[in-house]
Amino acid sequence: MEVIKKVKDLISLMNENNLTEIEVEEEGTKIRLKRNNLDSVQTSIQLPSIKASLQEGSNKYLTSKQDKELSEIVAPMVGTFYSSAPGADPYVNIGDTVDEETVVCIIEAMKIMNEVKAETEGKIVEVIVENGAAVEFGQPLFRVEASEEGE
Amino acid sequence: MNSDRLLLDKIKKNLRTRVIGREIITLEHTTSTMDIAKQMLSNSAKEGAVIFSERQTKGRGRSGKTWVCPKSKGLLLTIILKPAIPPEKSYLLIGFSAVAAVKTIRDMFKLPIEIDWPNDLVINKKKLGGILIETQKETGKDTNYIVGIGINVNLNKQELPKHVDKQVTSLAIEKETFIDRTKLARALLQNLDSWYLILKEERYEYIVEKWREFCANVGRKMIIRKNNQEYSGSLVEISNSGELMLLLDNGCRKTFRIEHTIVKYLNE
Repeated sequence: MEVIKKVKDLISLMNENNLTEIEVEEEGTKIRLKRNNLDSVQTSIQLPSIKASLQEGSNKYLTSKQDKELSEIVAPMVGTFYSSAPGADPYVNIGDTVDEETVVCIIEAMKIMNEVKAETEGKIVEVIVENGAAVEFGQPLFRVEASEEGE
Repeated sequence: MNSDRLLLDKIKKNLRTRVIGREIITLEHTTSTMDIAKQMLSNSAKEGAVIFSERQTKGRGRSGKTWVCPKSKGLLLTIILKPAIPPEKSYLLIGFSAVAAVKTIRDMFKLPIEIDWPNDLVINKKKLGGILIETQKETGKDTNYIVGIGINVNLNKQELPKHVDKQVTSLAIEKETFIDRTKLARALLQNLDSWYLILKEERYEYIVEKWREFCANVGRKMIIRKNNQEYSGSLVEISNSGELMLLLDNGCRKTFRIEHTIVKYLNE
């Protein structure tokens, strides 16, 4: 169900950005999540309502682009994240458009430099990990905004 | 000087390899032989293709470092491989190539070359060369492995690159004579091919055994990083799966996987 997926997405957004409260309205449906401590999340869903807002820990891209679909490129393995080949420019920068086959970074694992492909389509809106950082399996590396039709 | 150049015909002559060297290219200069390999892969290059270059403008080392070598003084090559190997065994690609390089140099020059775990070639703790592997994944296909090998061959002392963390040497300095790079190239391809077949036959433990035997690090004190924490201790042994067993300064034993970086060696 759409609403359940939306709630799940919002919970992960809250976790990643350390938000305590989030309220979103989309096509007449209003979802409000509030977290009192780290373990529980209160959920309220209303069908008719007015306006989306972020109560705390405001994130510019959440407020301005909440209506666009965001996805993440995650680390396919444990290793060290490199945004570029040695001495070269980064594979991708914020604002770049990627498709499934675009190489977005390298992860060095077991002393092997592995190319990581976007495996999604859209525009890079955030590089989450710093060059040279250790990353875990499944850790988000980039946030990608789905390209809109007609864009 | 012509005599310094790699001679493709001579490399190919009497080369009896089954996979590595099916196609050999020698280039005057390039950004990196790794870049050429990737371009060739996008044009569906076959396994076993080898690219040599006399000079590289953007040679790559590991961990974002560059690899610098004056023209026609080193042996710089990249090999394209497509082994159907499980991802968790991919570190053996470093193993087989390091073992093949050591075998080649020991047999040809009788030099005490060793492996600085896991992928550097050293003589008396001075760096002679290294191995760098990159992967490229095509959707729905086996991973392509691009194996880069760089060896300092005919560099004199003034031409050696300056490393902050390690002393550097070349075969000519160690052997005190001019080295025939073409002959070295052919012997290296021959050895790489033999050891690659051992890898393909899944005789993994044999590769690890040799890799370990050639390793210069056992007994040495080092600092190693795991999950952003540094540990200090001396290397007791390397396991069959390539793990490092350290005796820490606090008396405990701790195991480190191959991806945990050796930060530096102590008290040498």
